[in-house]
Amino acid sequence: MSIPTTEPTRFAGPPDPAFIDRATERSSPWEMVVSLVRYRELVRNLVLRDLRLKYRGSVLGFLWSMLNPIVMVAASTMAFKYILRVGQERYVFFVLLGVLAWSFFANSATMSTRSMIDSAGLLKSVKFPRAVLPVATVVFNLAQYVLTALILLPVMLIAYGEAPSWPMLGFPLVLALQVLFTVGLAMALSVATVFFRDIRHLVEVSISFLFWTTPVLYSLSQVDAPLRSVLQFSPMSPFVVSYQRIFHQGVWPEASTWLLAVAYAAASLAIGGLVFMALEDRVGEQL
Amino acid sequence: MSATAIAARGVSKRFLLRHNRSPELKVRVLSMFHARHREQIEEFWALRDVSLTIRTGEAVGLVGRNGSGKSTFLRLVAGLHRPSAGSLLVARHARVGTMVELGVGFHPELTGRDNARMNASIYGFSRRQIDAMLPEIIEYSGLAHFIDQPLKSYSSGMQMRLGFAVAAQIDPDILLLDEIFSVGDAEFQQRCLQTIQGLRARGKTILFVSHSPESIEAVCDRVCVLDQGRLHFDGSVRDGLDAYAALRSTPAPVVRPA
Repeated sequence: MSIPTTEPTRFAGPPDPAFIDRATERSSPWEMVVSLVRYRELVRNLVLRDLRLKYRGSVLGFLWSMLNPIVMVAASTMAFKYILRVGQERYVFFVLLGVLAWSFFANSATMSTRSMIDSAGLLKSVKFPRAVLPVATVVFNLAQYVLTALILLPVMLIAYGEAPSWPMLGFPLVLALQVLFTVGLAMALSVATVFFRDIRHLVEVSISFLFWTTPVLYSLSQVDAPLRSVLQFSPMSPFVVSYQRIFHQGVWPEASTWLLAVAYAAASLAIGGLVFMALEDRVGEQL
Repeated sequence: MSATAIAARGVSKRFLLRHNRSPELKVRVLSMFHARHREQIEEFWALRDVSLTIRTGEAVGLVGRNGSGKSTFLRLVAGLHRPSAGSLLVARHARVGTMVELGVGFHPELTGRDNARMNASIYGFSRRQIDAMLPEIIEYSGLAHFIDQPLKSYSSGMQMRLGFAVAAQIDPDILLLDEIFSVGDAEFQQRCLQTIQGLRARGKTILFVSHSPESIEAVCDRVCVLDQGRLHFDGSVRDGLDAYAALRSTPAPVVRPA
């Protein structure tokens, strides 16, 4: 079947710079970034709204979101260290690093499939940079990650008698790369789900598969060579491995890990941005 | 003569009606093998070859029967949909305010104040600008007493007042209004009308979709009648409303895709 296409008719003469032509306007990647900065207050309000709604009326408030990683760490410590007896040294600390970073990624990816659909009313009646929505989803999860890490990391460092070391300065850098990586993915997923609703289920399945291919509960050094070289390319591996090296081993991540993290962040942003720009136009009509 | 605010040249908008389309990937893949699941695409032209120029400071009423393309035209000007053909120029530095729906994005669990902040930030204001606007919004809404209560405790009339208070303080250069008078009591409608007249007196451009001749007469100095997606009439308010009344007395066309 073919859809007849009608190209917008251009009228003679150069475009008048005093006007925007709604038929042809298109924002460049750079303009998208600029508009996101301009709409930062909207991002902030969306994040605050979601945080307020999440902890509204709960006595323990934020402590609830720390319970999840703590239970996860306790369960995996029991399973790996005490039942299978394959745990690393200082296993609780090791697992915690991976679980926190992983939750940030997995929650962002899962939530981003809803970020456009849940704001359908907004998208249909006001023009604002659509990328605000997936970005707000990532920032919401980032806020929870940073708050949890700020409480649990010092506790771990003290409990294991770990002195602050220089490689810890690399933490914000790795985190920034993970944020860029997650933003790219969230942008693609948020628009794509508008057109194909079952991407949501695909994401859920992929996330649980990726969890086991990422060295969160085990260390890459425990894996034999052929499989290890595959697992180190798993999308979240370079980020998780970097956190583990920085905090658990107290050394800088290897150059190859940095390279992979930068490459994944760049690729995700580029692909996510392209998918987003290709589809965002039609989101309003599709919803 | 003042500058052009909006210039439409041969603007058309086609919507594709996708029958039998599934938003699920699964069905889309299966449809490659089963004709029964295949989607049928039909096109529907909501606007055809509309040309009109609106100058800064004009208040134009857009009237027409249901499905004549009025709201579509507003959405195109707002930049929510893209014209399928033609060109639609909108002054680059004009802030376009849409009052298509009041209180979009309101959340029942948040307080009136938080909702007002959220609503204003959708238009791209900074935190400092919103802080400065907030006292006026609260005063204008007349809800100072309830502003820190969650929105779910508001009556629907109160919610509308808050929504309109935000919209009124946004101070757009081009204001797109869609039927907001159909909601609310007489007092609320009166208040909306006064605000819009105030904006008009300050030289703002207004594009106003309404079915109510009284509202059009109170606000507009020009009327455009749309019929089946085409510009049927463009001229004075009196003649425009007459043309619309004449149209209404003829039987409504069967909406049939071309």
